[in-house]
Amino acid sequence: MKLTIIGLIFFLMHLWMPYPTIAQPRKNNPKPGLKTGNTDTNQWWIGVRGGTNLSTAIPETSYSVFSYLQPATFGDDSKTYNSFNLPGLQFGFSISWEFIKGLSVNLLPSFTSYRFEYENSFRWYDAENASNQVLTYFTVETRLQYVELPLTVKYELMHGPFKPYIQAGGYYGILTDAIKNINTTNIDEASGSDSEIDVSELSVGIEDRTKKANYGIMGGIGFTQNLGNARVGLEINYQYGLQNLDNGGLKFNDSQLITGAYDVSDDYLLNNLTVSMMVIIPLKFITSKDYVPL
Amino acid sequence: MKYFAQHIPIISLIAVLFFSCGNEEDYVPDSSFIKIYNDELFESAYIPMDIVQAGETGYFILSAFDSWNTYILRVDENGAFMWYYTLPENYVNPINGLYYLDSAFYFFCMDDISLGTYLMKATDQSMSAEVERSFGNIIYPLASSAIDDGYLIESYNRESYSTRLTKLNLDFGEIWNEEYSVEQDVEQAIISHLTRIGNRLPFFTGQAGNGYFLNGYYNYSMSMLFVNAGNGAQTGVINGFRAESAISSALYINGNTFALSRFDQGENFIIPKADLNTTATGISSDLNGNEHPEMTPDAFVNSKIINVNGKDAILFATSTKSGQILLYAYDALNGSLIGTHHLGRLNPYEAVSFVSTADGGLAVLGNTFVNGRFSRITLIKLSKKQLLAFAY
Repeated sequence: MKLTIIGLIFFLMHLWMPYPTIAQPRKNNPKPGLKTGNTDTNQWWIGVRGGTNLSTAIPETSYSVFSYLQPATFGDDSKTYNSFNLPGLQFGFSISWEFIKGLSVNLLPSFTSYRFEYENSFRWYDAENASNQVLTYFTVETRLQYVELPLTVKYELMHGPFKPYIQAGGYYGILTDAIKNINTTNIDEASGSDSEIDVSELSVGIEDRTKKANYGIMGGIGFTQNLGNARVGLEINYQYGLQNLDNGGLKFNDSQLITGAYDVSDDYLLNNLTVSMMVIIPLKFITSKDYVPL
Repeated sequence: MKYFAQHIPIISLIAVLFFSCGNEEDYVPDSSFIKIYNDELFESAYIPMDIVQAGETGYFILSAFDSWNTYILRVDENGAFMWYYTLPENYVNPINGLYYLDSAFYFFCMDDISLGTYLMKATDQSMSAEVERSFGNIIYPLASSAIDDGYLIESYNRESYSTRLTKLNLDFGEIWNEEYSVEQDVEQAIISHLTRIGNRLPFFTGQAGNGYFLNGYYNYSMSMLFVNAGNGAQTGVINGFRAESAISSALYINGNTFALSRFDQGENFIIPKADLNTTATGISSDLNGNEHPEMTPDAFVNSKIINVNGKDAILFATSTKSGQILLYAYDALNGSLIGTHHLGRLNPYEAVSFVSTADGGLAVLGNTFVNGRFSRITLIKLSKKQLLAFAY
């Protein structure tokens, strides 16, 4: 699967490379008054984009440090994932090649951070007086940071100044940082307390415990609005991860997480809902007479 | 060349994508795991004693429960709980020594009234343990071990004030027994040891070439005795000083060479290669060794030879003052330290025993206090790769 994605990127990059985008040699500039190729039907756009995202982890296989000798009466040690509740951020660039009017290929490199969390809890109690108990709650927040390379095909539904569109594609992310923050609280009735007591906060790097690459498919909707020669836009994408992000080879390598906070990562996929704003400008022949806004 | 230059960005990207994905593996459940066998009751206190691997079907763990009651735990090859059995209250004091024979598990424990010894047999079919044999003349069993042609049981005879060594054949039939006089009343210290209300004492037995050895009370101190394999007659001794200075573990290597650990007034020493005269009288505090202040005072130490990737390593497992399990790996040939490995973070963890596993890894049995307070059994399985990282 990994090779397939890489191969796809390789192929699409080759489609893109023959058309210079960043520094167009003067010699390629058409002379005024001359039509060359299909300059009136294709255009390059570059811009910046940024926004926020919400994530949810989809556990595939669950793991635990605890193995219960009798069924647990509380918590039962399984993780409860909270979906789409912690915002992350992304910002980056947009490079689009509109090769047919209304249809474009888009490379959207970005620096992205995702956050998600899950909770678990445990109980120990006095058999003769069950209210004499210790309840421990763990809230585990995971922060993942990637350099991502989404590649989409976008189709504009209208061709006026206001252009709603749909897009679909895939993405490939390279992990740059990963951290788990664990917040532990206790209700320790056995020691005379009946309210939550903040016990500890633990932050542990998990970059080595997380796979370096993430990839998946994505789709979304959005719109752009002409603003002079530029366009401003807003889009919403849903990214569906296809890669289990936990590095299984280190799943049970001892650390403060495992023997300290009794936390071991599940095998999981990461799905994201991203909202981005963008400003893009046409790159080709913007000062030329044959520039034709699309 | 021009073509290559034009495609540098693509080549760089592909290289980054490939190399960024290295050193990643899918999780293999039986390769490595950390398990804590938990129940929710305050009153439950498990004190693991020993572990044996049951072929490729997992592990069998012997434990004391609530002081000195007997508890057995069976887990599968992934460390997942299979079944447990708490023996009736008259079967107390499970001792070190756990044996897997013909798909059955054997261990020794004690009758709480007569103080006699039972050989217990447990199977997956019965999911319990039953008396296989009784040894009414072996009272206060303290330790056992497997030898080439049978088993040794060390015990304390409260009537004759003697430490006793009994040799059993492979069918657990008694061959001989021999007693070694103790010149002071140590019964209370032994009871405190057995019931976990006092200091744990380093009782052990083993085979050294053509002879046997045992560590126990002798004369006025905790001493290591060397005895004749034919009749148990004493040939030599390394005396301790009361129970304050003694050998804490001994592993026979070859010839007259042993791997030892000892404690002296709370300080701990490891001697990975010690040449001992098994026919002479010595003093444990005269033995050299490297002091290890990180170990708990009078630390419990378990040592075994394990094969790591075709090479023999001496592994010492002990507990640190910081509440961790600490493994020391030494070269079996020259006694040099190869590496160390700590296990357990934040909550207290104590070393109990370990076994080399069929897949080349290591299963470490420990005692932990979940949430910092409730005593539970923990089993930490290291993969072959994890073992190689510190032991060769």
